[in-house]
Amino acid sequence: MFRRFKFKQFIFFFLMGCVLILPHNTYAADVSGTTSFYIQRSNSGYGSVWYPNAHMTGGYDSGLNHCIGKSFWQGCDIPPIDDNLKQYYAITLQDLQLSYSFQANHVYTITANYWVGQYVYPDRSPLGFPVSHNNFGYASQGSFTINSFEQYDDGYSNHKAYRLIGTFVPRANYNSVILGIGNSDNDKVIFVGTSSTNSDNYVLQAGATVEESGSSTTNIAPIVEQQQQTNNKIDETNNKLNETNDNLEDINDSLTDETAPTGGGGGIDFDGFRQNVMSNTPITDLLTMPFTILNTLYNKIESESCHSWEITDDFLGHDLTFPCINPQRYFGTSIWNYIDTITSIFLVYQFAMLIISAYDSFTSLGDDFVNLYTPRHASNNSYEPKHGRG
Amino acid sequence: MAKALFVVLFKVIKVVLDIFLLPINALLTTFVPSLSQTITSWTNGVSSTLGNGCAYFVDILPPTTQNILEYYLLFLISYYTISITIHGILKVIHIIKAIKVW
Repeated sequence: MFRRFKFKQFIFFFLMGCVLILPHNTYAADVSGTTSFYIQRSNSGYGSVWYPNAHMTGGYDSGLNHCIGKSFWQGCDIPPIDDNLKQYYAITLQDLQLSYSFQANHVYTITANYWVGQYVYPDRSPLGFPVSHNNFGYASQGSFTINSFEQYDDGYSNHKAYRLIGTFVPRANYNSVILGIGNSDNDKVIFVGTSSTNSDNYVLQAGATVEESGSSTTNIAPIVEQQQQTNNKIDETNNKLNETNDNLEDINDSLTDETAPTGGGGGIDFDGFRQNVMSNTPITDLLTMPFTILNTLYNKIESESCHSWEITDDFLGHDLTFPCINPQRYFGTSIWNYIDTITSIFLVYQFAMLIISAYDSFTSLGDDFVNLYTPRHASNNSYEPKHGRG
Repeated sequence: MAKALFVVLFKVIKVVLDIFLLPINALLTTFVPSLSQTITSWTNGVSSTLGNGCAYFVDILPPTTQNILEYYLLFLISYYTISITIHGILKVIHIIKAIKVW
């Protein structure tokens, strides 16, 4: 009893240890690395440009007149501060070049953190995050979806911090993209300065990280269409082949009828019979179907790609396709790792119990093996049935 | 690793079953070829659909859970294969002993 208890403990804790040692983020193998950029507004105007928003004339302050007349890319100096008036400023960060090997139709999670002055806040919420591989053609290079935008406490009281998390799915392979911070209309963030005496309050800093989180099926429509066209062509070719085969069979039949020997019999085709029997094993296939299913399962799991499930019209009358699901996108990496750990521990426990059950089952077979052979001189032992006695 | 072990096990089981079921397969293939083809196509269709379906739902699981599940299924198959084989052999030997021809 004590030995068995120790054995159970050993198995359980050994497997538990294996689980805890195993790397939890297998999808991280797909990630070729993360990269980040960091920008801080400077007087030179590089990377970020302050300029007055001409569309907001209501709060337009005469203190910004020195910016008027300058081109967009020339930028302005630090905006003047006026405690008495609300001031509207727009900022754009179109020159942030994020160097990363983006692959088409892969999902990239981009997390951007903003720090703005204590008395400055974004005028529009949520912010957009247009993406481009050059200064033109925003958003056409891929789709960007905002997952969350919120203000958070980063521990500093002299500014406010915002965090934007979005998902970028590029339409083509890019080595770098230009990230702009702004709304989806005109690629800029409108900030409203309420009250300030310190120009530093208008300083904006932004940092962003990008991480690949798997492949996407959001842009497979052209591929599906092309596949459909290919399938149609294959069907046409198969139909023509079938017609040709039918014609050939007819010709062969007519030739056989005309040229068959009339004297002796055709004999038995042993080679054909053997080949036919060895290649067609319907009952074996039927009995090993669970293994075939598991084989398919193993092949799919080993492929390590998010795949959809398509049920053909053989069963339903029309095709039914379940899309690829990547729960890590919805739960986030941390929660997904916690779920992974909990389910792994549960499964390891079940595994350990199965091993113990198998051990008990196999050790109990010993008596059966002992009974298999009974020597004649030991016919009165306890295993031999005692017929006709007492 | 789990897949490689599974493939070896699968092949061994298939060879053994092929040997035992050779007469039945031969009869079906020779005398009822249409039934043989129907069984084969039905088996392929069901195994493909169920296999892809199982893979789809297993793919939703977290990665470490997937790895453990692979080994769990492998162990489960091995256990039941060995267990059924041993019990079958014992049963046959007991039957032979019960005949008492010798």
